Amino acid sequence: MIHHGSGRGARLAALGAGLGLALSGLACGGTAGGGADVSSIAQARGLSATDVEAAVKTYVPTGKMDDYLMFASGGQSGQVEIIGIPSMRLLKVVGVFTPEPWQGWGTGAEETHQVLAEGRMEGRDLTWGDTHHPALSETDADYDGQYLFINDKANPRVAVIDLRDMETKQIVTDPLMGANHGGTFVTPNTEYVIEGSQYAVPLDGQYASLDQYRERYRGAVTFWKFDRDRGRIDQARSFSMELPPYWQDLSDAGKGPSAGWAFINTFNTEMATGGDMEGQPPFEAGASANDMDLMNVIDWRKAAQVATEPGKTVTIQGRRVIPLKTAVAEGILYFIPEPKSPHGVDVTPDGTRLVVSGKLDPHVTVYSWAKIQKAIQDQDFSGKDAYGVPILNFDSVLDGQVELGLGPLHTQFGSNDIAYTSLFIESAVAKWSLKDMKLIEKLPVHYNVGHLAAAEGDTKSPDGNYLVSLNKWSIDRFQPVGPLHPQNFQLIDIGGPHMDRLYDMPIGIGEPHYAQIIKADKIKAWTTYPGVGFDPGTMSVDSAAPQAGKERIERKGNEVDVYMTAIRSHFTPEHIVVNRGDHVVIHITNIEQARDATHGFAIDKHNVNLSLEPGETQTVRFVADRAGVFPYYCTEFCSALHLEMAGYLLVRP
Amino acid sequence: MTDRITPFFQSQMSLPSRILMVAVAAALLPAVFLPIWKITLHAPQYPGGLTVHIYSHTVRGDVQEVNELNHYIGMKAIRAEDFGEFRFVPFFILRFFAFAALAALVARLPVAAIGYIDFMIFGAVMLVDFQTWLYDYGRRLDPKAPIHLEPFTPKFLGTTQVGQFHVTSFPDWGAVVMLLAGLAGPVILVYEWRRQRAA
Repeated sequence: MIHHGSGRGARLAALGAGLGLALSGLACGGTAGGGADVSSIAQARGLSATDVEAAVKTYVPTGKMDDYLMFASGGQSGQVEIIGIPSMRLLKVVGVFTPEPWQGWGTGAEETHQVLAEGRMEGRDLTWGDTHHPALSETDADYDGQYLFINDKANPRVAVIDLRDMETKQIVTDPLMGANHGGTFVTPNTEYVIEGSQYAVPLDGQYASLDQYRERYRGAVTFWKFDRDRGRIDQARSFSMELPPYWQDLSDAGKGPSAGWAFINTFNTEMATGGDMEGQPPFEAGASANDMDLMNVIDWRKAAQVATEPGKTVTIQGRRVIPLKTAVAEGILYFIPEPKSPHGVDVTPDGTRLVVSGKLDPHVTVYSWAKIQKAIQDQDFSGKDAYGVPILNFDSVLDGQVELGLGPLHTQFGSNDIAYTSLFIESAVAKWSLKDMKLIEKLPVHYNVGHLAAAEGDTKSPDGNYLVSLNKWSIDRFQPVGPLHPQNFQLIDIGGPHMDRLYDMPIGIGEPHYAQIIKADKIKAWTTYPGVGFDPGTMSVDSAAPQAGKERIERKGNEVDVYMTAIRSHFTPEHIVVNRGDHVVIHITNIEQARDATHGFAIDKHNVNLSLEPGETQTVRFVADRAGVFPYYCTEFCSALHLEMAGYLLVRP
Repeated sequence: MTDRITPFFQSQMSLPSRILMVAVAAALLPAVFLPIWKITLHAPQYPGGLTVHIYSHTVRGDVQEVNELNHYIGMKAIRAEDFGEFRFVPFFILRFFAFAALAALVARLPVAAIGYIDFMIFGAVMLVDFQTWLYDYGRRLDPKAPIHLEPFTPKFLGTTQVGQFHVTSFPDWGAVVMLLAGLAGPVILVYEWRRQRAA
């Protein structure tokens, strides 16, 4: 393994060694003369041996596939990104909370507007989201490749994406919360999708002054019941739980021996209310005064039981909520002290320990699940918080602490009890051993790392080969593209004895937070829809969808229904003649069956663009309120005669 | 010579020949369900190629895509219902199966011979028929089609270049088993003839 030599001589020697490696590889491949070229190309481009090695490890030639797929939150874009690993090629941006015209998401297609409308809050259309934490569905604490969940922090919502067609199927809103952050995380068999709040607010959605913070403001956690057969969250069987007005942070679900429990970090146990202009300490200081904060330990199985019992829940804003008092009385909720303003809580692959990163503490603190269980049984409490929640004795549940460096945030796992923790302040990744609780090495990253994502890194069996450092700042890593810089995803090889940085991927569409990496062959994505006239909303063939040979225009009063098909290179019909004021409904089926034969459908000046993938049917509805002539055309370059794939909407005065 | 031929045809078929006839019958039956011919189109944007499988009773595979491409040059769509052949060819194959099974059962060479001649005539007629269809499809192009192409005749065996497509036409498994069944005819004839002479 070649490492970064400090001097020029060392670098050149390393280059020689690396190229030797490359040469011998090429010689084996039998490419005549290729070796000499590689070495001169590397020299001409100023590439070191390490660079060449990294290039060889990440390059995926045309026609070859990546080994892994990374599902990354798209941050303020409100979307999800799918990225191949190790190539770090962006494969797709999935429209979730924000219209995504390329996918016909929220730009006319009725079914997509219905999903987006599910996400309306307070009577408002929300046209963006702040996606944070994607969660792949799990079976037996392992990714099963079926669904992806993601939260919108800004407007507390959760979306469900079906991984067969990679389209958003459902958005649920959580009116109790003011921003969510502790989600989404799934329980080991995706029984529930966990969503934790962030900033405390009055749960009833009413006004309460900050003087009433302790009495009226609350945090919450919602357990969204997932109905796998329907591929939807079942809101009626979901429930929430009231939490003290601390600010909840990240969550994780227990697995193996800790299955049935959920863990949610908190900060601002100080219950600071800010007010820097009112002479109060700003949040950044007020919420950081205590040396210890409190981790929520929640028995979700018992909570799910209690939530069905009469008289044990209250209804707030139409939601079933277990009050804090009930949670305490039923033994559903406990606290564990945790060092200073923690961020991530991560359950180890075997489910026996919890790793907490204290943002303002240089340690990761590791708790033993067996000790936590014992402390709960023995009622080994060091006290209660202001709301009567029992606090487990810190020393009784502690497994150990490892000093890693400044600003630990998130931990992911490799194989053989190796853990990787991001160090935000140090801009580094710390590799440490869960076995002997020792730091092994640190690798600088560029810069200000937030989350880490390891290949299958939070399942029961991490693969231990790739790690991605999701860096918030890129500063000087990329060509300047204006003051707004892209984020930097750095791919790290963790398969060898040392961590090696392999690739920098600029993310230019938002600030991703967390990502999950799944073995590509676990995902059985469709290459075309499995039937002609397929409705992605119901995930079944719509018998009423337009079919080849049955295209027609039907008029009933001022309702005009157009049954249209799209196939290379024509729409049928090509003329739609209506009167001003008519309600026009266009049903279109892409009757293609060939892979990649997608057609678009845009209507001039009507804010309509559909993406009709092979077999897909969609409906667009509008009032022809202006007389005139409006061309419609295919917006996906489908064929040699793509430009001819057009028609006229004629609106008579 | 005639004094030899008559008893030759009158004699019982030997056990090995009868076993072979059973094998022929067994081989013919799947030909009803196996694809008999296949036409593959290769072009840059179709990495796996497009394949049309012709069965005794229908046509399957990437028919829709091929029709979609063909409409650009004004070629008539391939539709199973346009081919009357699909209604009777399965029964012809079943007839050859019956001849072979009967020949094995009654052990009479004339039965096998009549079935064999019937089979050969059928094979020849079908190949001519197939080539006629190809001629028809390649020559009768709609003059109003978006792309004007010189009329052409795809080969029933081998490769034809049409635009960016290499169109390859080749026997499929159904034809292979029928060919093997066909080879059994001369084998039995020669074997039985030699046996007679030796007797």
